[in-house]
Amino acid sequence: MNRLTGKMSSMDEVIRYIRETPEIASNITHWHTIPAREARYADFPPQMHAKLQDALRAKGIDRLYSHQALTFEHAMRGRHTVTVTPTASGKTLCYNLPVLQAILEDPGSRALYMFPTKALSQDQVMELQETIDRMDVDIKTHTYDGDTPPTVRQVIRNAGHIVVTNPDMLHSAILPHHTKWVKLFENLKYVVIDEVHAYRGVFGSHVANVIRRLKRICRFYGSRPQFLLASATIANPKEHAERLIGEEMVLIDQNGAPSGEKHIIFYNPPVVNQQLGIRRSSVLETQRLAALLLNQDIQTIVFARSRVRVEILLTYIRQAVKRSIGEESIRGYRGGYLPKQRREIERGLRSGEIKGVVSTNALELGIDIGQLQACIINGYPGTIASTWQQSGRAGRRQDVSVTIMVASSNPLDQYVVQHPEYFFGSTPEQALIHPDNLIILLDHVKCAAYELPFERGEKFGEERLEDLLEFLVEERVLHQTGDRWYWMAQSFPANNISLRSAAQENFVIIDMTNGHRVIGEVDRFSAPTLIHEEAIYIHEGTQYQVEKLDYDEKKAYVREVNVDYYTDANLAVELKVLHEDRSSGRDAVTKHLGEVTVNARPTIFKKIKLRTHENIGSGPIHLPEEELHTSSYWISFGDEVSGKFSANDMQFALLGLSNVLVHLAPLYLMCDPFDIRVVPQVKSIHTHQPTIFFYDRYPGGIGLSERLYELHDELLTQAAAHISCCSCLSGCPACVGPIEEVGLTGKELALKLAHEAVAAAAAAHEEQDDRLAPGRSGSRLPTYEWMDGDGE
Amino acid sequence: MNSLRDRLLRLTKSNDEQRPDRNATASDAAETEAEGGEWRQLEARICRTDGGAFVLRRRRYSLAGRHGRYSLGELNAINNRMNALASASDRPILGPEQLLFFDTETTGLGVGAGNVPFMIGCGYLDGHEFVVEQLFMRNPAEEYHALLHLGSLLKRFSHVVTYNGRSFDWPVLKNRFVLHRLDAPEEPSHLDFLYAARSLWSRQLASCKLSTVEQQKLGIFRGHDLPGSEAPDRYRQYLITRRARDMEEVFLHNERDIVTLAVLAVHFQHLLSGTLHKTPDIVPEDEVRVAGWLDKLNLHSLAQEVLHAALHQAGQLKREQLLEAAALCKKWHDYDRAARLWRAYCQRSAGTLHALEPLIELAMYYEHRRRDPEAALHWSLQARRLLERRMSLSRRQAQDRALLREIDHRLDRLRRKIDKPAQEMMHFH
Ligand SMILES: [Zn+2]
Repeated sequence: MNRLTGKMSSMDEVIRYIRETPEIASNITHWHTIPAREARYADFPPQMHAKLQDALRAKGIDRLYSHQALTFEHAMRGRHTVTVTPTASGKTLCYNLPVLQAILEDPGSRALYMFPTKALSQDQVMELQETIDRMDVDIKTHTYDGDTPPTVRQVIRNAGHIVVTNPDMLHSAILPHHTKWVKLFENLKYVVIDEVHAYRGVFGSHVANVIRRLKRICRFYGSRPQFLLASATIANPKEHAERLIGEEMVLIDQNGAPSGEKHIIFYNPPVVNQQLGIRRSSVLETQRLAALLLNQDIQTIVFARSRVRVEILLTYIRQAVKRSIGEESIRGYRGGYLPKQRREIERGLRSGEIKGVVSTNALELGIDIGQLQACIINGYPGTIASTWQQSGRAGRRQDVSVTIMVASSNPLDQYVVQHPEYFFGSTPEQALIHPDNLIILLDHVKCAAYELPFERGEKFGEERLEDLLEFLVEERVLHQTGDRWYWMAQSFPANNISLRSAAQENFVIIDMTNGHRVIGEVDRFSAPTLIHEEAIYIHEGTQYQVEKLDYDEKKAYVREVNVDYYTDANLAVELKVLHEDRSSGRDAVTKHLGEVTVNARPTIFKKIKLRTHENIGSGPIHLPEEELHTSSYWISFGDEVSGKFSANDMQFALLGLSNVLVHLAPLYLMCDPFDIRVVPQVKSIHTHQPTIFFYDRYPGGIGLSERLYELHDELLTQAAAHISCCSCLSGCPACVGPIEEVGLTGKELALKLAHEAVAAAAAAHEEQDDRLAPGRSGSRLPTYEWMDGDGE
Repeated sequence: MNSLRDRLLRLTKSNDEQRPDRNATASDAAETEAEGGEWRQLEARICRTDGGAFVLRRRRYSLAGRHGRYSLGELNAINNRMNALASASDRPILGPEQLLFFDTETTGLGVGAGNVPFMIGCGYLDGHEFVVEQLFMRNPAEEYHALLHLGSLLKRFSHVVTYNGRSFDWPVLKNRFVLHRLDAPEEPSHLDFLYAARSLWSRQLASCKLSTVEQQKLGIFRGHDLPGSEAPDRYRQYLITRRARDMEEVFLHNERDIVTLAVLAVHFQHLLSGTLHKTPDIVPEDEVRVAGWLDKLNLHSLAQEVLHAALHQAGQLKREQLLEAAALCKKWHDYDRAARLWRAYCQRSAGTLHALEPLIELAMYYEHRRRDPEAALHWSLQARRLLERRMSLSRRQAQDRALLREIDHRLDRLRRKIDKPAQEMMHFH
């Protein structure tokens, strides 16, 4: 270190400083070093077009990374491919090369590129265009999205070789008007889909159906395109890609790109209240760490989970570096900024003019900002895949880089930061989609019928198509003549079907104490219980009272108050089992999968005095009831187990265990925490036993409960481990929940119940293994083919 | 029990009891003798082609019959003047026998692949008769054969005459050809009368719907008529009941639209030929707009003729029309006539808070064209007075203040021009 300036001379020195400064090092729960890796190259494949080779050489590329060459070769052999590579590994060449090759060989060929967002498509067009310009050939690449002017659209339809778009446009603009795209569909050679891990859950299930429609239209025009996919690292890339595309894929996951040494540091803010398990604010810790790096002139990207967080962190960090590098060299980046402004920031980052950027996950995907030196992640991004993508923003080819993940106090963060083996082991994250969710499927059958009449014997999804068509005939949406079903309604079906679930919309919290100031956000499903009118909402340690909740506009108006109570809302949740599809286990603990109806309505709220916890008042909540038909997974405890608890204890045990399980579930599901919900029932109407129900927070279910049903054993084992590892004394929000909710013995009781369940599961396994001993393996594979077929 | 169906009912919250009886829906059974009879009652017949069939209704009109102000016989007057309304300039119209009038009834809105024209109405001149030919699909499977028939019909004509057909009916039809993997017919030259109607009447009529235009401009009164927007529902009902008479009103509505299109063509032919005065009941206020429309179509000399004729009865024109007429004259560099019109406007508007534009135009006219600074000064002062009054009453003043500065600027200049000769005189003394 330079004694005069306090500047450290290298990244190594900064790393040493972090390691050796006790107030930092003591909060590090894990330090993971990935050694530098040499590149693995392959020569240009011999069949690669000379012009393409020349263009690459002109760019200074005279050989390929092994994964690029491999993808090219598989594509040339006519295979559908999915390439899994980390950020900055030359992924785009994997699909650009086969596409350009095809167009060079036959200028009549067409390709369709699909990116999840508009911003990404625009970046892609620029990069592709550069390569094309270098070849000096007439290949036309166009973005086709909502911003494309009508006059240009006409040109693209007829003459664009490569059309770059997003799934929403494909769904609502291109496919329903396929007759105007005859050239494209007749000659479609490749469909490129990047970021396929982003197509999961409801969105992914919709997109899988859009692809079914796309393939159907291609068949009509006599083309059979090859699919070239790219994905971030997930546990099931091949399976996911195959479900998404409905074709057999070749997986290419051997990354040949080089990388420098990488340090990944898990940082847990210190506990400030042991009893309640309260930790120091992750925002302030992030500010300190970012300032440390930025003050050493290390180009740093900071990721935050929400737009509001980005703004708060930006202000804090700017304050901290005002004197050293100046406020202007730190910028924010998120949705809502103007495109021009974004481009300027991207340029500044590439040139190094901008030293630091605070961003939402908008910069996680492949927008070109060059490579930075350090990355700080404020709050676990929710999935391992996202975390790696964000971390991938730091790390130049030859240089050492560092990523610091600062955990917030929410349970998922606490689990990850305390269980690094979960994160660094082989990823358990599966991208899940359920394209045959009846509601989603039905929507797309309508769209498909609009595009082209259905014929008898046609296949669309896994459900019986003819039953669906017949249903739509009854609904007077389709008309059947002979062996064909025709669209007959007046409407344009794609207009009423949005691929993206509205569940992501948050409520904004506006503080009116001094003018109007947005202070935070609450997700839609927590809103009824957290920000109903008269609720006390606590934000950064300050109490606010909700004065008005505008449910339609999704806004809560609050004012600062100073009261000695908090509020607790009752949500009346009624859950009824409609149908049980599968079950297994012994009497002690059984698991089930089926369909349920959930009715949820906030009823009243109580005012509870701080410290004494006495109830000092209450009031009604007037908000609409929500009804949901969906799939559910439930765990029931037989007499053998429940006999070991008093009724009262059982209530707390169920509650505590549910809290842990529902927090852990997203780790396996790659879903938003609010996509899966839990309801404990001390005596369920359906099973007459203590039962914990999980359900998909989407009508018809999107496969989450089904996956949890399969994961039953592991889920319970992890829950038991997590409860016993938590540093709190008798329950905290990071494990079984706060003491106010689960009582003083909640932690102990939940752990006891978890152990019972684990033991029962192990016993059941032994039994099963005995029964199935020789000649049968893979007993964990789901067996729904025959179990689900009950008379449908 | 079909459990998939049950799940669908639960998830879509459809009420099973309110749903139509599944068995009540008539099947597309082979047509019966009785059905053929039903169609004959509508003067239609089942037209059989190679491997298929559809319903064809053909009606012949004598050219002598009157439809509102005109007779269809006047179609014979159509000549190359009609070219002014055509979308393609390389295919001249020589006579009415080149025109195919058409209008479709579709199952939905928009031009997506799922919008089906279940009825295609065509009209054309055939010797001494005007023929309306309607192609109707009893079910979507008949479309293929109807399209083949339409394709061969289209080949006989170089121009199609429609009402909004260029951006609706034609693209929808083209989709259908593509969907049946048929060679799409060559893009014809369009005479889309909606464009002409809009530029002529959008400010005058409550709407430019064909039904409004035919009443107000062609003097055709249909009496009871099915609104076009109800046609899709009628068709959906027909698909269930299979009763030909359920389609009767749709056939009639479509047929009348075709006839109206032909009559509208006669009207436009008159307008484009300057034979306006031969058309009965023409009101003078139309003529100014017609002149403007002709001018936009680059038929300048005709436009001038029409305008001058209208100005013979300038006293009957509304105030706004005086301004429209003046603007046209100015555009044609006929400044004196324009100035007369502006003055007439001002005279008639005296004492009211009228438009500022003619006062400023007059100031400009006298300053630059007539080089009469004193008259220009007079009109500028009038303009200033009017503007001051307007500003005292109105709130959006920013624009008016800019205008005021402009006027003051002109006033200064004019005063200098007026004073200057006076100063020169003083030098002599
Ligand atoms: Zn705890």
